[in-house]
Amino acid sequence: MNYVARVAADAADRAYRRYRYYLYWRGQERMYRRRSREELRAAQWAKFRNLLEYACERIPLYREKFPKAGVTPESIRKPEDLLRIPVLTKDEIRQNFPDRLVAGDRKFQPDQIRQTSGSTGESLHFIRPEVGWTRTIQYSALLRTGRISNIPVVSLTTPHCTAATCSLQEQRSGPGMWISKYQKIRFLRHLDPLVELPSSDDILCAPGQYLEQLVGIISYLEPCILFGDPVYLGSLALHLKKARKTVPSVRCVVTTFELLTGSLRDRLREVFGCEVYTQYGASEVLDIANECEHHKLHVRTNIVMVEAIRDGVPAKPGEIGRAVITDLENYNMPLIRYDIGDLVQVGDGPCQCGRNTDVLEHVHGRTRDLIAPAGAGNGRALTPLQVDEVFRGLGGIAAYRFVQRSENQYDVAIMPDGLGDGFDRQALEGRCRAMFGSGSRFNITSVEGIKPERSGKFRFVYSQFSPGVV
Amino acid sequence: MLDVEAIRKVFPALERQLGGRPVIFADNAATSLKPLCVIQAVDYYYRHLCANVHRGVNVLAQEADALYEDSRNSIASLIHARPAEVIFVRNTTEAINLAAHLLDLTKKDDVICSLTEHHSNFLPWLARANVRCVAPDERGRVTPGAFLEAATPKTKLFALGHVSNVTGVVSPVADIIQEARKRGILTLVDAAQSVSHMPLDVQSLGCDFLAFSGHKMFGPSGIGVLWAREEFLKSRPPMLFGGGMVTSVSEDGFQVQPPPHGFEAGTPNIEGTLGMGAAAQFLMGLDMDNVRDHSRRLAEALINAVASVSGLRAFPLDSSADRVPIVSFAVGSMSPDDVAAILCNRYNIMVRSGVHCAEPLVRHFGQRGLVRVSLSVYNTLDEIAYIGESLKSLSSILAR
Repeated sequence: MNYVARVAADAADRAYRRYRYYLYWRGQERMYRRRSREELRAAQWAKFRNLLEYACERIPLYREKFPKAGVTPESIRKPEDLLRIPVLTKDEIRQNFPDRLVAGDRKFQPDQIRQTSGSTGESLHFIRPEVGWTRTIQYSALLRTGRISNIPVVSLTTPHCTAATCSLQEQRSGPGMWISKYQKIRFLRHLDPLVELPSSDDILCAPGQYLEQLVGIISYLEPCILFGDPVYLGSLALHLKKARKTVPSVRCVVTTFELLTGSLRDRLREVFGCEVYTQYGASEVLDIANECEHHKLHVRTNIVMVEAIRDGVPAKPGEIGRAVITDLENYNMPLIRYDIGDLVQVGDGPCQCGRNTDVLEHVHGRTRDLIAPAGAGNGRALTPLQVDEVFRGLGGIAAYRFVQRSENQYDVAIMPDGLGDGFDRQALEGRCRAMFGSGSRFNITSVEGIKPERSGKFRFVYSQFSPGVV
Repeated sequence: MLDVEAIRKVFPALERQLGGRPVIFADNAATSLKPLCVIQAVDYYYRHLCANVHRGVNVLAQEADALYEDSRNSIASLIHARPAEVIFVRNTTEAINLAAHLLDLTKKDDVICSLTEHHSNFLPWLARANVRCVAPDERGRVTPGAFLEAATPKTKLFALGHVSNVTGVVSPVADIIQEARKRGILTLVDAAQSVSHMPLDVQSLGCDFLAFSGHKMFGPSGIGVLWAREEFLKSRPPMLFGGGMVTSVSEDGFQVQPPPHGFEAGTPNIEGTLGMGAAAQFLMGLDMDNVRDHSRRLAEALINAVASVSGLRAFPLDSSADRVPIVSFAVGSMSPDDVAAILCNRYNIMVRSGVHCAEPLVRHFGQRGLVRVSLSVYNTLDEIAYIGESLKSLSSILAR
């Protein structure tokens, strides 16, 4: 009886929380649609000024750094003044965490101290308030399907990430899987809709048995939404394609954690027969932007400020710049103009979807993965998203690794997809030359698998020669 | 008394800075920094010799031979041993595995270890014999009584760690060995952590085997020593066979050289040996009694610094035992990897985190991992004070 009472209380609590999340997200949607862009920006600016005042007064690093740059809260009156505020780098966070990045009288639980996955280089520690990915996933559900009840969401991420967080210390792998008791009773599934599938670092060379096991689980659960890392989902999709299987219950695929390239989007679309959306976020800032039905990334203007900086100035619409983020809600460890290590392409409003937030066209990958081809003017580089166009649409390729070894020498490792006659080497070489110059040399090899980095994420495009400039 | 500032000047790695700030190297239990004399010994070999040993009559080869055997003599002097009983191997792990081979153990034989052992002084026995483990007392020491209580008529060996690489506690190995000898039980001492902190005398210790590595005593990596009583070296065949360890070979058989060379098959790590010899000379130049005194002072200061940080628990909880300057601790319920990363990135203090190749001991403390600070002759009291303040600063943001 006690057990039944506990479960009933838990179920009621969950139902209540889900309803609250639904109200929250419905409120967010209404705000994005009903308020004008100017109103949203004005509210954003007001939040930013509050954060700036707090940081200048209470956070030792900013108290020391900003006056040296001539920055005071009073001197930052309008968005154009943002450029005067020095950018916060990852090295600065590492060298000042924790005591100089938090207010002296604040105390934190050990589990509030988080770590990034290190996908932009070395991992770093930070403190953020718990927001809950669950809410974000349900926002996706609301955006894509119009409702959040009775929505099983199946998540497949790296072994080090859950839908909520990344942790290098803990690795989920093997047959273990996070599945709530509510999943076993169909009409209660909506109380805890998230199911996290077991993951493996060998996802790109995983044995068929493991992938078949995942397919079995997904078929049983009949998810409405597939959520997770695009590379991991892409490998699963390839397996489904080879086995000529489908999962008809899936109504949309939402990816995050890593870059959603054109190749991966095409494959996921083809296999699951539905639209694919990406969610742009980061461990330290969580939810930054969500892709709408017109495939524009809408910045969560009320919780985060995103700048794209190119050659030291804000990038214009259509241009690619370094993403500089301000988390407007994290007063535990304020991140003001934080160079997150990503490349984003500025969009232009308004969007046809009717939301009036700031818009990004694409996320292009990590700054450290830029490739500067020989003869590129001013070292202007190509982004991982752009390099992916070399491979997009070319059959026979499950995955690739493209590495610049010298100014005009490249190693291209291709993992064949095992379908058809394999990939067309000549066509690939032709595309490579078209993008990187006819004088470049390409060492194209076939590989059986591609391993991720220690974080479980993949680095498909990078240069060992020199980083490009944005 | 050691002149620490003068010692620091001969360790070039101490000049390294990160982010414009000096580095505090506090991971000496993992490996030690190298003094100029060791670097120069290796450099000299590469620049002026590069000859193989025990194989040539040319001048360069003869010089290499002489330097190689000179290193052996230096190591023998360091531990008060006969050179013929000093076998060069890759590291402590290989040394203990060689000892296990010489003992020819089976699963019918008992070996007594303590829970404080490094995996390298545990797994070779677990793989070959029946191992019985002895728990440390509340001060982290393993006592003669505990070993004797665990001993059975089938006990062939006590495998003893001289100093725990997790807690820094010095075990009373001389007393344990004395009791073992009375009962005809052999003893092996893992001296990897003690060789750079205190004088070692295999004759007065009375052990049957002693093992240690070069890289933890300011020498290069890839070189270590097994000291074994001659009777064991003559009673069993070597573990490795090949060139350089034979006097003659025919189609039907071969004659093995007497120890130590019969146990050193193949081209050895010549530069490593020369470096290790230079490291032994360096240590003897400091006078090991002075080194021990300095080690005790650092240990006391380190324990006090760590104990003064609220929210931090050092293991063992009773810190009164004799020890070298190694201490392992937990900061609240923070992940030890997180603590180590923050100590490195924020405070430029290089420590280690995890189970430290001593998982049974860490689990015995009820932990999944610990942060370890381990110091050496070139660390200072000022550095210890800074470590203490840094830990306080980190701990201060944690809610109690």
